[in-house]
Amino acid sequence: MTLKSIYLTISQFHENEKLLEFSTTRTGNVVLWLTLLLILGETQYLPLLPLMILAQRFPAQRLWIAGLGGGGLFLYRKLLELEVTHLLWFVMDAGFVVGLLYLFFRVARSFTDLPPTVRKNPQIFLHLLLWGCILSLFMLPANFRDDPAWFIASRLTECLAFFAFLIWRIGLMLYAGKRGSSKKNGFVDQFIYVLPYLGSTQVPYGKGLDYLTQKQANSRLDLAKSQLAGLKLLILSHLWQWLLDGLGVLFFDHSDSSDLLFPIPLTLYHMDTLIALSGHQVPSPAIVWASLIMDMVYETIQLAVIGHLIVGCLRLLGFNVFRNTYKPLLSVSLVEFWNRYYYYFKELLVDFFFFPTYLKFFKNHPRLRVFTATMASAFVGNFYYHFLQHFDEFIVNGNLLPFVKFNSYLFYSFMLGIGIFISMIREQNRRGQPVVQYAPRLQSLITLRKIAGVWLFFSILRIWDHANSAFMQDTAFFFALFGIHF
Amino acid sequence: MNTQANRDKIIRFLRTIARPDLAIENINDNDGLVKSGLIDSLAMLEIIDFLESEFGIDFSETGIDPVELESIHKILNLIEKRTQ
Repeated sequence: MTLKSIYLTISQFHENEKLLEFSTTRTGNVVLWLTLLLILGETQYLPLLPLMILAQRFPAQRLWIAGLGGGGLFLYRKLLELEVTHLLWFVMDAGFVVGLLYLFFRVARSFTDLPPTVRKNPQIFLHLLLWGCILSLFMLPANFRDDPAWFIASRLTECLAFFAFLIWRIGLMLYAGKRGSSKKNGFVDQFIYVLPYLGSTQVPYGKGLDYLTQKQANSRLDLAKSQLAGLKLLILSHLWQWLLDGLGVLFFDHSDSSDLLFPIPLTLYHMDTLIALSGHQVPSPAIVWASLIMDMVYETIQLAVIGHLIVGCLRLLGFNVFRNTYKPLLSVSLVEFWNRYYYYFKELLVDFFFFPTYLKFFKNHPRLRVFTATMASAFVGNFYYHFLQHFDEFIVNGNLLPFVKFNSYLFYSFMLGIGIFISMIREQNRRGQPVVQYAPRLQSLITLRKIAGVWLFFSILRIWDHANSAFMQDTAFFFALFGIHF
Repeated sequence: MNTQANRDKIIRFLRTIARPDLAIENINDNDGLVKSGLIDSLAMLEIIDFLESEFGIDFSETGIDPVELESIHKILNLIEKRTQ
């Protein structure tokens, strides 16, 4: 047995036929659930364990079990976050959210009866409705949230916060209506993605019901494959978390190193600290560059930790969906990295911005067509998503962020769009061409050079995407990297 | 036009965008085109262009679900559905 085959046996354990067979037995099941108890024990996803067991026991009711259970847990957590603790208001708010979703469900079901303009642009109308609600808040007194006279309006803003949070998922529901697939499923079936206990952002992990049902296990063996693949992701998530902790201790922990068992080999900085530092005590160029690269790697692993947990749980519930993060640090092109880094966010941009633009404009100009669609998704859609996300704080607490706060991200999205477009065109040009064969060592060097290029691009791009971004400060930092100061 | 003729057209087209080191004959009609490594996800755009120009399918009104382009079988179904 070679080292490679040992690695493959361990890393691909979820495809091992004997293990798959064992996991369908009673003993195998007990082992699986106990392992999950250990793995999920310290996470917020532990309450999903009984749902996973129930979903296995009653596969025909899987959507209901995952939807009702996960939906209930989501509402509970979200309303606590919004500090809704009184039982009556809790029930009323939850009822309002479910009512709102039911309204959109009915709209999706009766899609063909909608006025032609709405039918043609359902997403635009959906977002106009949300913006109408947000803008109506400006007409209320500044302190209405604390004024008992405006109690009802204050409650409605809680529900508006849900509407804003769920906007992309409601959009998926409308897409299903447009395709006519929403007629196949009931209202409760939708809960699994519209009331998402899994995932804490607006990004729908596992996409909508159409995708989830396509990836649903249809036999006991399918379920076993999905469960083991899920278990693998949960284990990976823990391994990556340990790696992150290790990187933190090795590079980013700036506590007194005399307390440690061994000296810190290199003191590096996360992006926001690095940029804040650059105004006062500039670290050496080597430290700055090493920090840029290592922070990008750190953040990518961080995303994998969260994504693996969420997708792992979905797989354990019986939905064998694609990973959110799949080896992005081994990508050899920008577009490949973008595809592998944050899959479900990329899919959101593709579904809501890329395809609608691609299918409508410049059909006779292939390059322009790709350019427009790429910029519509990676630039406009990406920026819009984050811009809208920041209005959550305004809806709930009335705090409005100045637009200047977004300048940096605007530039980030623009450069990302340009980078992805160039990468896409290069990939398209390469397609169909004969593969040039190099000597193995040279081939490895070429691959490494490509990977390094991808790392460098995204490490530098992140200068305009951090917690304390400000365009001029970030741009000045970028030029300072090359010894240009202004 | 019959399904076999459509299938032949698709195969001919896929050969032009497939990875040169993989033979299209090695995959079944139900195999995922991207999953099997025959094409990359970007090639989906070229499949859309092909369906628009070759079969006159207009996706602008209905939109598209990339799942409908996952395999040769699904593409054939899509052509049948949209050209009826």
